[in-house]
Amino acid sequence: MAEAPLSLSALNLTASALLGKPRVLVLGAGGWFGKTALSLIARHTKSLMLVGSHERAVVVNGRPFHIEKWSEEEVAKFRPEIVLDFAYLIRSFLTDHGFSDYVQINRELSQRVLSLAFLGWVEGILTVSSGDAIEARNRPSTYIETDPYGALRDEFERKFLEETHRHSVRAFIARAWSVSGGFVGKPMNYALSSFVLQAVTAKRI
Amino acid sequence: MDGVTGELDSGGRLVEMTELALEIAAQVEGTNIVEKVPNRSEKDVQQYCSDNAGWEAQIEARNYLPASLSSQIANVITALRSPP
Repeated sequence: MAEAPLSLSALNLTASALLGKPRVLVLGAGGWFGKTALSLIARHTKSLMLVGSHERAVVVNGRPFHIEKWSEEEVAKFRPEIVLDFAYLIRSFLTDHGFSDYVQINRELSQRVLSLAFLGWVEGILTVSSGDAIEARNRPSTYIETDPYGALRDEFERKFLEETHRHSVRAFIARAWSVSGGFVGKPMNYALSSFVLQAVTAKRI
Repeated sequence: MDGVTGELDSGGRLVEMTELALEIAAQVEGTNIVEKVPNRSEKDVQQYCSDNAGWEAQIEARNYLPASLSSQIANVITALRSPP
């Protein structure tokens, strides 16, 4: 296994953002963004709690991490100060789950994050959203049937900003429009990684 | 940002698919580009991209050095050949 190259700029920004914040909770830790975050924060954080869709061990840049399932009780015991939220089913999961389950699961994941804003010890939450949320904005409410991913991202962003503001929790939405990275989980779903995969495996794009 | 909440859209230079393919082919020796597609910017289609303004402002304010397209491609080539 190779080590994913890390940007010095990103490492420095991460270090300054996490200075003096020993307890960090990562939601969706086993996915593309979660693993990327782990590679950036592991060396700066004394205490990490990693939550994913199921319990498992992952290795990121040669270092093993344990991912556990969500437990409200365990999260309360951990008392996170900073929450990094990457837990969301992207559009490609719609086919696997079907419309109703897809909507329900994503709303449950959203509700978990919103519930963290109520906890007195959470100082800040960073969540990753999508440009699809902007695309969905100002569309009619029935847009959820056309593009549940975008509509749900927009719905979540609004509630997230409202709830975190109400509880004086620092909140940040990082909206990904087009991104790349070595931890991409489904390379064929994205232009850059798909082209790279075609070039590396078949020498043709 | 108001000190409590903030939002940031990813940004960067717009790259057409054919240009992207050419950049990747330049880094993976012997790669052929089978089909060059017309540039989206030349067609009357909706563009899926941020306005880049917030991104540019934030990277300047924070003295952040974003990875170039070339180094992003190199990172993904390395990762897909040997997952991190």
